[in-house]
Amino acid sequence: MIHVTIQQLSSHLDGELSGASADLVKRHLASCTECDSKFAALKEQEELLSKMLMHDPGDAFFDQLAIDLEKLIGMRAATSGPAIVAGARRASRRTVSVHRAEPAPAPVEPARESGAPLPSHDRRLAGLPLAPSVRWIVATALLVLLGGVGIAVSQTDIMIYSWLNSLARRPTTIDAPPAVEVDPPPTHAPPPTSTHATTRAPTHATAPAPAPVADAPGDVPEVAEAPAEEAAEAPAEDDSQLDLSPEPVTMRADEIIAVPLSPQAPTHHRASAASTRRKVSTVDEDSAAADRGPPKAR
Amino acid sequence: MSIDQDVALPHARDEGAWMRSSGNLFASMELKTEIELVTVAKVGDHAAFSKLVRCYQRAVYRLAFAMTRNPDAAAALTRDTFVRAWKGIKDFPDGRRFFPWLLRIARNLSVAQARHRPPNPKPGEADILTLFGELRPDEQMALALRVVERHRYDTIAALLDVSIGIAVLRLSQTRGHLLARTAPPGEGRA
Repeated sequence: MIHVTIQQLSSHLDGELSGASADLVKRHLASCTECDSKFAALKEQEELLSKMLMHDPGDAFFDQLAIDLEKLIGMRAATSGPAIVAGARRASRRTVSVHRAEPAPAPVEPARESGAPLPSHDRRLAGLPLAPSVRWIVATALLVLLGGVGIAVSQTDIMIYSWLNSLARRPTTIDAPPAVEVDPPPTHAPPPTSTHATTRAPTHATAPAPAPVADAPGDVPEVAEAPAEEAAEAPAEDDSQLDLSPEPVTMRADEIIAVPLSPQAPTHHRASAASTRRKVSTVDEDSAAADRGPPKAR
Repeated sequence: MSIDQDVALPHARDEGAWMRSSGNLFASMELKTEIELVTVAKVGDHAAFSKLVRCYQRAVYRLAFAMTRNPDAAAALTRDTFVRAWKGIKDFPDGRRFFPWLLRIARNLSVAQARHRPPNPKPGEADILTLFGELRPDEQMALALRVVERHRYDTIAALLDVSIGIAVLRLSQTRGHLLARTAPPGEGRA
């Protein structure tokens, strides 16, 4: 026996079958207990679903729901809130728009039939909450803010670049000691011991003072000689002189360690690496010899 | 979530025939009145939108309750649907009916809320409600439009934006699926 489909049963349950199809299904249900029980189960399920899925909270609930929605969309706040002027403005605009729409619904129909877009640009802008002047002010403030951020970013880049430059110029050679400040002010420099003795000398009337140190201003040339001598002793420790000198920069510690052993490396790097390896191998041989102890000849 | 999707009616050009076949769906509001209210509401008129709310809130709530099976969740879903409709009404396409658009919004919101909602069926009724909750949103909506609202097939197809054949197939398959899950094994085969 050919059973009816679930689609036929569903449509028959909803009363959507035509006369001939409905008669066919009815006759089959009368002769087939399996399909009839299935149709009965379908009907019972439909009643159960309609009972469980239906809910009517009452008119008061829907009135309150409408009031809540009017508050949510701003209608209640506009008419009964503290902003009376704004509410009055909106109310006047609403009245105008309603009066404009009611007597002349004719423009709506042709626009709908022709499929042309109905709302103009002005109407879309009118729905925005901000006034045009406020919008211009906000846009100008945003532009100024973006310009300031751009300038700040560029200045930060310059500062970072100069800092990195100064870091790269710092001498990190192996043999160069750190620079020492050698420029004390001449007036604070302690005078030599002999000078102290001679300065106290004028207090004694009988003791003759030596000629070169008899006057107190004579301290200045002696003290001023010290920076000049020290500068002459260590002229290469000055950073500016290192930078401006045309001589090649001495090898730094990290360069020696990171020197490549490939033949593509520069010549002086390879030479330095070879000398370094030689030194290291010599040191290793010495230490190995020391570990071996005395020679076997003994 | 996009609420600006086209909720096209299948027979939008033959508006009169579609209205005659729509049964009691739009009996509370004429097409001309609805178009006027929507047009005025699109430019920001609160009163016009409030009239639309009072006209369709019961139908939206009933379907929201069918989708959520919870009175509080249904009320929240109804509120969210109308608030979202108010925010997007300025982009509402012309020549379309308002209620299918509302249903599309409610359906999308229901899908978003269902991801965060724990299953809480009532004792004794857990079987059919649980199975109904496991259906796809389109299947739930189709069955609710038929079971709760008692709409005809052409109206269900128009509201769901599908053809009548698809609406009939979706309804029958959903019913068969529920029946196969609730009936004992070996029964309900045809």
